[in-house]
Amino acid sequence: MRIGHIHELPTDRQGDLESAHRFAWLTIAFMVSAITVLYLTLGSSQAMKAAWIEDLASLVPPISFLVASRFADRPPDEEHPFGLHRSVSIAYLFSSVALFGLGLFILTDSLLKLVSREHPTIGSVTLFGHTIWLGWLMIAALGYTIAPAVLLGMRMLPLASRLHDKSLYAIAKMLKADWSTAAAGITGILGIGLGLWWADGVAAIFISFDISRDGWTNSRTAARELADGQPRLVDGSAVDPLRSRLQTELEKVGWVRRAHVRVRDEGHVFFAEALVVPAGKVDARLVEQTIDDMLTIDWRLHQLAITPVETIEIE
Amino acid sequence: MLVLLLILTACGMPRDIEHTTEDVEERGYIRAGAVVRAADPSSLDGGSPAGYEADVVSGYAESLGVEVRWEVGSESELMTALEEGGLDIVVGGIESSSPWSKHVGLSAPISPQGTPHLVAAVRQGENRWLLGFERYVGARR
Repeated sequence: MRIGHIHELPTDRQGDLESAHRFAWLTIAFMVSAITVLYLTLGSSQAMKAAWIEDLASLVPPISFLVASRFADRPPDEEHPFGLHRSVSIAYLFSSVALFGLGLFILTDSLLKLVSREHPTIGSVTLFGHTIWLGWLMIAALGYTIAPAVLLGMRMLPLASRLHDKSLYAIAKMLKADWSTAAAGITGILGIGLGLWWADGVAAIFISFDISRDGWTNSRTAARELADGQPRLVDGSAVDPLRSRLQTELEKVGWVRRAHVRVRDEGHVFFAEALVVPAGKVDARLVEQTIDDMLTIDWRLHQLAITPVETIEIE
Repeated sequence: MLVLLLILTACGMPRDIEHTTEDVEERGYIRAGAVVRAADPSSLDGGSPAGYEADVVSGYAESLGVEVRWEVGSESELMTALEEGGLDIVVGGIESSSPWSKHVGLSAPISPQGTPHLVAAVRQGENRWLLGFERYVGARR
């Protein structure tokens, strides 16, 4: 039985991880440019402020993804006998909570501004000798953020599934949904242009509600993972079939009469333990052989512990 | 994109939330406020405001083909009146860092380049009015 440094990813997926890193860096670069462009045109529009904060918050997930993946594949040591796989989940929880907090902050801010009937004032800028309304520049800045975000998101989504990385999945989804933020912002500015004072605030509420909802769903997923909840597919849509598959495979093994499997999601990889009622006498060599066989059924199954017992009673 | 924006601008965007531009044109005069500064009594020339900032407002009125009716008072009186819609514009030593910026809209600098940045205050959300004023100031500078 070998324990110690076993890499998380099979060699054929190592390339996916490298692409994911590249995309995370690209996302950060793009976000920094979007944050700069929006900041320069921010003015006193609440919708612009919300969109800006959303982009600012969008920096946290890719950064924590990059930080976490530096740790996730470290070998176990005296202090961390299970390795540091969970750093992925911790980073995921951290960035989701950040997203949720910022969302709530800007939501409250927008509601207060709407309730106090604040009228957004947007002045002008002088570009190349022409004095133009800053609102037009705001619309251009928001428009700029749409295409790169959606493209990055679309490229990252399949990588997230291949790497079984929920935080990457959340980043990809967030980027893909970025167009609705920009669209809401543009609608808000056009509303101001039409002399509708509430349009800006309503757009800001829409955007901040979206940020909070994202933060909330992701925080729940992350917390559930850290609390050893039943592992789910990377998009959270269903229970991951690995547990039932492992149980079926184990019960097919000759010396096993009955098995009960529990699986923990450790970020990128799964740790499993199985209670097994043996058909006859337990042969330690067979147990080890079975563990090795089982570990090949899915790359995400990182470790398996088999405990032979006389009976299994599930209450 | 650019074409679309030109069309939108042609449609009269941005508009004022409380129709200041239309009201001024209909009324035939701008209700302007001039802040009295105790340290600078020369800013009042025989009862009516004088100096660069007053000239900018008068010039803007001229460009619109309307008159200016001045109201002289303290900054807080005038700003409150502006906020409530009793005035259209206020000038007189207002800086772009003015704490009033939460209650009124502040324009781009109106003072000549190289001098301290003085701005004009307009009612919040009167974006057409503000844009028109800033265009005039830009052309003047």
